[in-house]
Order: sequence, then C-alpha cells, then structure tokens
Amino acid sequence: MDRKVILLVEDNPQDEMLTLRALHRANLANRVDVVRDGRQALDYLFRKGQYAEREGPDLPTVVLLDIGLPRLSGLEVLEQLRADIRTALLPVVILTSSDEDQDRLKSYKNGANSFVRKPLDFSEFAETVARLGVYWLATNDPPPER
Amino acid sequence: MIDELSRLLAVNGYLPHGYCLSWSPLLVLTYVVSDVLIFLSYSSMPLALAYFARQRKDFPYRWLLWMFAAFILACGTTHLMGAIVLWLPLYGLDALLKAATAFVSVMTAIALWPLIPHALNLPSPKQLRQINEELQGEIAERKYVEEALRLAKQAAEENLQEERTIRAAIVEFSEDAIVGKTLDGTITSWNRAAESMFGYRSEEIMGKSVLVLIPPENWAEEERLLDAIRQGEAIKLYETERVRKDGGRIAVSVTISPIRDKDGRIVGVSKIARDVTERKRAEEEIRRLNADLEQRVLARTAELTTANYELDSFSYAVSHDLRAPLRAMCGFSHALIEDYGSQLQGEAKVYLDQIDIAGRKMGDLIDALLVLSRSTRGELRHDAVNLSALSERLLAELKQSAPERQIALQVETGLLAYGDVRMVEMIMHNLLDNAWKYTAHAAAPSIRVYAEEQDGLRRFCVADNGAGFDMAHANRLFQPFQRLHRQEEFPGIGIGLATVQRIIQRHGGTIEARAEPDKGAAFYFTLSAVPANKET
Repeated sequence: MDRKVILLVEDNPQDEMLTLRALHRANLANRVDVVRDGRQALDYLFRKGQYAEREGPDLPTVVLLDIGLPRLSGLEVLEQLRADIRTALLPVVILTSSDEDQDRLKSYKNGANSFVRKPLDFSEFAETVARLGVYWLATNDPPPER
Repeated sequence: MIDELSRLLAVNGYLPHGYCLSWSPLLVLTYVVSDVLIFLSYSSMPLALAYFARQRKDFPYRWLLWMFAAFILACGTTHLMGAIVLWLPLYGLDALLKAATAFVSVMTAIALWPLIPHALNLPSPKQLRQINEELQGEIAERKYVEEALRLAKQAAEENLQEERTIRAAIVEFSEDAIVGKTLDGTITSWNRAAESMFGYRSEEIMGKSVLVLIPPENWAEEERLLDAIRQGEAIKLYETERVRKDGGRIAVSVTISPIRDKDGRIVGVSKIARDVTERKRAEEEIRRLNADLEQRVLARTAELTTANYELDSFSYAVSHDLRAPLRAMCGFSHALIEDYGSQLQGEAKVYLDQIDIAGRKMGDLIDALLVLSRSTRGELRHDAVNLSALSERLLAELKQSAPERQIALQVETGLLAYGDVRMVEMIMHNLLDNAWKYTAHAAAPSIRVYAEEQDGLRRFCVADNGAGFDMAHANRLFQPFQRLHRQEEFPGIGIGLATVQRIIQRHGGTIEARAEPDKGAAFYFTLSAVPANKET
C-alpha cells in the first residue's frame, strides 16, 4: 500500500516550521514533502530535474500551495498543473496570507479545489492546518487513478 | 319684230283715253292732276331713299333700297303715262311700262318677304339706345380699370425701383464680399466688403480675371468649380484660400451660384465670400488646446494609473508580506509556551503573552488599513439599497452577539439609498457598531436610524444616546487611527469612521456628526449631491 503524501509549497521557512509542527501535532506525519518555489514544485510533480529520481508515489494526495512564491507564483504553478493531463485533477489547496478578492478569484478560476487564508492567531493556524490535513488525507476521496 | 314693236308704240289706230271720259273737264282735270302729283311724289321718293342710302352706308339692305327706288319710280312713270294717254293714245308704251313696273314690283315683293325675319331681328332704336347705354357703362368701367392698372403699374415700377435700390444697398453694404463674374471668370461686380476683404478697389478689379484672387495651386480647383457651375450646380460654404492684393492669404468660406437670364440660361456666376481667417485661427487654437488638454489628461491618467498601481501593489504586499512575520512572532511565542511552558520561570510567560498581544494588535491594524485602502479602490456599483432592511439585519446580528443587552432600537421603514451595496453595508456596519459600542454604559440605551430633509437634501441619520464626545475634537473624528476614547473605556483602533467618510466621499455625499459628552452622538450622511426623490 502506498503512503499518502502532502506536498507543501512554501518559501517562508517560519511558516514552513509552523505548518509542519501543526501537522505533526495532529499525527499527520505520514509524510510531508516540502519544496520552496514554483519551479521546484513543478519539477517535483513531474519528476524532473533534481526530483527526477525521487521516491514515493507519482503524485501527492494534496498540494498545499502558497501564492507568493519566488520564480513561478503559486497561481502560475496552478495554471500549469491544470493544463497538464497528469495533474489536471490533482487536489490543490491554496494556503496563503492574502485575503485579496483578486487572489481568491484567480485561484478558483485557475481550478483550485480550496482557498484557505493562513490565520494570524497561532492556535487558529494550527487548528486550520490540522483540519486541512485530516480532511484531504482522510475525509476526501481522491480522483480515480488514470 | 322691230316693226311689231314700232306698231305697238305707234299712236295710230287708237283713240286717246279722254274719249273714254267723254272729255269731261272735271274728270280729265282730276286724272291729270292726280297722276302728275302721284308721278312727282313717286319720283321724289327714290331721291329720299338714295339720300338715305348715301348717308347710311352701314344699312345692311342697300340693294333693297335700290329695288324700292326702282319700283316706286316705275309706278310713278305709269301714272305719268296715265296722264299722257288722255291725249296721246300711246297704249303700247304704256303697256310696256306697266309690264316693267309689274316685273320690278314682283321682284321687290319676292325679295322683301324673306327679309322680314332679318328685319325683325334688327335692333329697334330703343334697344339700340339701351345697348348703347350698356356700352357706355362698359367703356366707363374699362376706362376706370385702365386707370387703376396704370396707377398700379406706376406704383409697381416705383416699388421695383425702390427694391432695386434696397437690393443694391444690401449687396453694397454686406459684410460678405459679393462678387459677380462671367462664366470665363471675368469680374463684373464688386461690393465694398470685397474691396476691404481683398484690397482691390472696384475700378481696379472690374474686367480682370478672378484668378488674381486665387492662389495658383488652387487654379485647377477653381476650374473644376466653374465647370460645376456651368452644369447648374451651386456650391455652398466651400472653405478655401484667397490672395489679397498685398499678397496675404486669407481663409474664406464661399458660396458660389449660377446667375441665369430670364430664359434660364446660365450667364454668370455670383460668389459670396466670408472671411473665416479668425474663425479658422480660433478653431486651430481650440484644436491645439484640446490636443494639449488630451495630452495632459493622458499624462495625468498615466500618473494616476501608476499611483493606483503602486497603491495596489502596496496593499497586496501588505496583505501578503506583513502578516507572515507577525504570524511567526505570535506562532513561535505560542510554541514556546506550549512546548516549554513548564520550564519558563518568573514573568517569562507574561512577556511571551505581550509578544502575542502586540502581534495581534499589529495584525488588526494591517487588516483595518487594508479595509480603508479597499474602500477607495475598485469600481463603484450603483444599486438601490433598502437601508431599513440592512439596518434591521445588522442590528439583529449585534443583538445576537450580546443577547443580554437591553437596548431600544428604532429603524424608520422604507429608507432607500443608492450606492454600491457592499460599501453601503460597510457604512451602516461601522456606524451601527459604533452606536452599539458607545451605548454600552448608558442607563436606557437607544439607537435610531431615520432620514430627514436638510436644505432640500434627504440625509440619513444614525443616532444614539451613548457616550458621545466633545465637539471640540470633531475634526479628528474621521482621521485614521485617531480615537476620542481610551482603549480601556471603549476598545477600537480608529479606522471605522475614516473608512465610512472615504466611502461616502467616493459616492459624492457628505457626512457630519453632532454629539455631546454622555448625551449621545448622531451621524448624518448623504450618498449623493443630487436631491433624492421624496417617495424614497
């Protein structure tokens, strides 16, 4: 049986630490892979470049994608994922500091499955991340394998 | 035959007629006198008829007069013979004369009868007189009409003369140059305006070619226009250039029409020219100013667009980037407490709490700033907003958040406002929130939402009887992060009214406040400078 994997795309190391801490505390340490910019995210998902030989399942169960990323922004990554048949149905959650209408609108237009604003309050943040993990790994049924 | 006739006319063989009368002197005398008198009378009648015929040459039946004269004369002759044969028995001659008389009489009688109907048709003197009178009347009338016509014609000629004078004056003193020319372009008339417009005196230019007025590069065009005129076309308000005597160019608007003779043949051309140099210059100036203005608007728009873009980028950056470090500060201070709380000593926990509190406060300020910035961005929608329903809903939400509070709420029904529904909601949310908050310590708190008329404008009002404020500080009321109450009295960050004012100003409305410490505050606002409908 393959393990379920969460791909966290996050360039802010502090947010990364806090997110990972929350997931571990929620016993969702199955496996979280972290990449730090949009280019890396695409390489990881399409097994290219430094991720050509990576282990684990072809695709993660869910991608937690920040918007403000170096090189390729989260919205651009999302656009490319949706344009590729391999990742067109991959669950993607936008997890961002922004609450701008335009970001929310573009995210959904580009085919995001969910849009979550990172709460400022630590407890709230931890709870939100834990809920997200539980929902996408346990509650939600992924699209069928192709 | 001759012999027979001479025998007949001879006197031989017959007795004179006197024998038949036995020569009775009385009888003979009566016969003779009567016959001679008859003869004389009859002889005089043709003379009278002849005289009549001579005098009345218009008499229609002159030949009848001659016949009458002949037969009367013939009758007279037979009577003369009657007297002669008393003594000379010339019965043959008498018989011949009688026969001749009979012939003439019969012919006259025959001729007379068919004439009678015609004669009856001849007007009688009375009729003639009447006709004459009528004729006289007609003649008088005709004379009268002729006189009237003569007078009318005279008046018409005078009018025509006057009209010609007026027309000549109109042409002469027209502000527009009026120039006549032949079909080959020779100038035939030249008014004063033409003199001042082109600089040539009438006597200088008459008989010259119109080409002296036209710039050489336009000669072909002039020929084309003349062709059109020869075809009977008229050219209206055609804008072109002309050359003055001094060589200066002027812009003119010309109307060119063919001149026709009374048979409709085109015999010349009239040109009416208006100097539009000034107008052209003004137009050019307006065009230049417009272009300049457009340029400046473009530049200003570009500046504003850049400024807006920068503001957008700034808000975006604030929204994304200022929150992350705060989250780290709050998050890790929490993590410290959670993971190492048992090892912390003294006031360490309190200090970590302060980091968290400050971080949250900073977060609230960032959120408030973003709200303020968004209230001045984005497109403004135009909705009809039921302000009464909106207020009721917002107040119900507030009541739900603090069910224990006893507060009198009064919302006027049927309040209708026009504006962006999301922004109007933000206005009411802030004003009602404030009213709710500042009535917290009032003895019998109440909040009222209503509309009133002020200087022809309908304005909305949110009034409470809460803490109020000192009007001396009213100028700081709408500035961001300015507060009139201490945090521990009434918590807040001082961004709500600043946001409300910006939204109202974007709608073209105004807001003002009336308040008194511990008596309450009232906020009056309009959403447009245009008077609202009374029915609303």
